[in-house]
Formats: sequence, structure tokens, C-alpha cells
Amino acid sequence: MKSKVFLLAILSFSLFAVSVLGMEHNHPPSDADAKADCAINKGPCIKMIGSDNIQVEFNINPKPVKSMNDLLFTVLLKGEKQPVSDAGVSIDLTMPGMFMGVNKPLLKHVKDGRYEGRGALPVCPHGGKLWKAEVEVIREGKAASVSFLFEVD
Amino acid sequence: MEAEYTLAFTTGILGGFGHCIGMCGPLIAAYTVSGSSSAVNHFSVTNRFLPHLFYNAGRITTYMFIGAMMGLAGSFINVAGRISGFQNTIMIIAGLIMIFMGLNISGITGGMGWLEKNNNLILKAGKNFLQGESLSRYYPLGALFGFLPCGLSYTVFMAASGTGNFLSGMFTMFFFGIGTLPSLLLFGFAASSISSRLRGMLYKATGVIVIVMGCLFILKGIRLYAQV
Repeated sequence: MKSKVFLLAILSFSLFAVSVLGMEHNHPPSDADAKADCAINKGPCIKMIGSDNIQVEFNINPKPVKSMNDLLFTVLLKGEKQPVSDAGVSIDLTMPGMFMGVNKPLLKHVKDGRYEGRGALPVCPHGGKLWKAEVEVIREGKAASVSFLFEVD
Repeated sequence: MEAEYTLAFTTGILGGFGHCIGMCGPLIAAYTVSGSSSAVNHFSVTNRFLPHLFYNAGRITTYMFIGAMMGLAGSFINVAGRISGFQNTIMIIAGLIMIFMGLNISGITGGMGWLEKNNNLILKAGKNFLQGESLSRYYPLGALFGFLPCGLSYTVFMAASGTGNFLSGMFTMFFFGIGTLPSLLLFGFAASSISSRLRGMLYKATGVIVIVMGCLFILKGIRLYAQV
């Protein structure tokens, strides 16, 4: 009888701990405490690729961006004076702190430095919502990349 | 070997030791400890290994089935959208099974005798499933849990759908499943070796942990429902 009471006490405490900690910290541990630097649901995010001074505009549609949906990934490249239309562009989608396999939507040049490709983001059963898109730009044999950290609904 | 098969296999190998053990580890530990309470001799190497082989065979069968459907449809979103509700239900069912296993291990319910007292075919089948002696009972368990929502397998399902072919989709998932085998078999074998040595209060405490894990699975399943 005593052992059953003891076990039920452990069970009660564990359930409490799970309900508090599990619901509060329901995402996997991230590497280097990564935080979103791109509010993708508010609009495109812009960063520069240093060496070539190319402006990279990253966007995902439709909004709000949700996992397990058909998504359109767009990268717009602008040089100092004109759009960059001669680059090879790829996106590597990863979840910080959790290996989710290789997810690289194919991007093709559409018009005036605009590259588009369709893909999806899998749902993380652990509740993780933070994703990293590493945009790689290959031009004249040289590769450069820039990362965007964003959250999905 | 086609490029997507190599990629799927590599993803399985790489994901197996981190992602898969984290996700499926509690399940494997639950059925292993629960199984060690049955009459099956878990001290022999074969009996420590075979349940996990059957479980993983079932899991890979389900992966191949979904991969074939993805390849046939040529669309990840369409198929995933159709089965997501079912997968979330499986997560809740897995949680319930783990709670039953945990209750059985901890002895809180006084074993599975209460199931026998109820003259109900489903409950009796449940008891045979949880406490049976046949090692092959782990195959349907693996097949059922193969439907569990998993971010890593979703990514490979995307690749399977990209093949646009029934067989290619199926084999993509086969190679992914084979890739995850070493880590999960190793983990399962270790769990069997440990659980067969658990005694007394430590063994019962493991049952409580299994119950807590089961509750966690149910919470995750409910949360996934909320996201749909």
C-alpha cells in the first residue's frame, strides 16, 4: 500500500512537472540560443551579402507562413545598380537544434533578379517553430550565403 | 543506387542517433520494459534483439506504404494533409498505450488482471497485445507507431513525393528506414539489457516514467490537433 502511495506521489509530481515544463519549453533546444531575425509574416526580409554587395530579399508566401502548407519561396537579388539575374540561387531549410533532414526547394530565375521555388516546412511534433533559411548565391564560380531565422505559425 | 535513395539512407543514419532516439526512444523503452515483465525470456541475446527487429520492420513497412502513396500522388501536401489527423490520433493512442504499459509495469492497477475480468474482446486483445509471449506482436506495434508524426520523416516524404512514382517513393522510404535501423536497434538492445536487470522499486519507478511519457505524447497529440 505504501509503495502504491509513493508511486502515485511520484506520478502526480511528474505530471505537474511535465505540464509546466513541457508546455513552457515545448521546442527542442536550439543551437546557440537562436532567435528569429526575420519577421516573415510581416513581409520580406532584407540582408546584404558582403563581398559582392548584393542585396538579398527573402520572402515566403502565402502568409501567415504555416508548416505543412504549400509555400512559395522567393529570393530577390539586387546589385548596386541593377538586378542580379545571372546567379545560381538555392535555399537550405533547417531547424536550429534539431536535424530535420535535407530540405532544399529548387529555385529558378523568373524575372529581373527574382528567383522562385515551391516547397514546404514539416511540422515539428516537439513544438519547434523556428526555422533557418540559408540562401546561397553562386555567381561567377564564387559562392556566398546569408541566413534568415524566422518563425512559422 | 539513385541519388534520392542515397540521400534518404544518409538522412536516416544521421537522424537516427539524434532525432529518432529522441522521438522514438520513450516508445521503445516503454514496450521494452513492459515486454520484460511478460513471460518471455529477455535474458537471451536473441530475445533482447528480436522484438526490436519486428518493431522496426513494422515501422519501415508503414514508411514504405506512406512513401508509395506520396510517390503515387506526387504531392507531399495533399497526402500529408489527408493523413495528418490520423497521425495525430496515433500520437494520442501511443500515449494511451504507454500509460497502460506504465500502469502494468508499476503495478498501480495490480497488473492486467482487471482487463481479463471484463468479458470484452477488445480488452482481451489489448491484454494479449501488451502481455503476450509472441515476439511477432511487436510488428503491428511498429506498423502503428510508424504513422507517428515526425518532422524528419516528413522531409523524406517530401523527397518521396518528388519522385512522382509509386515504387520510387516506396524505395526512398525503405532506404530511409534502413538508415534509421542501426541507432534504433542499438538503443532497443540497450533498453532490453537494462530492463531485464531492473528490479523492485526501480522497475516500478520506470513504469511511472513510462506513464509520464505517455501523458507527454497525449499532450503533443492534442497540441498537433490544435495546429491543424
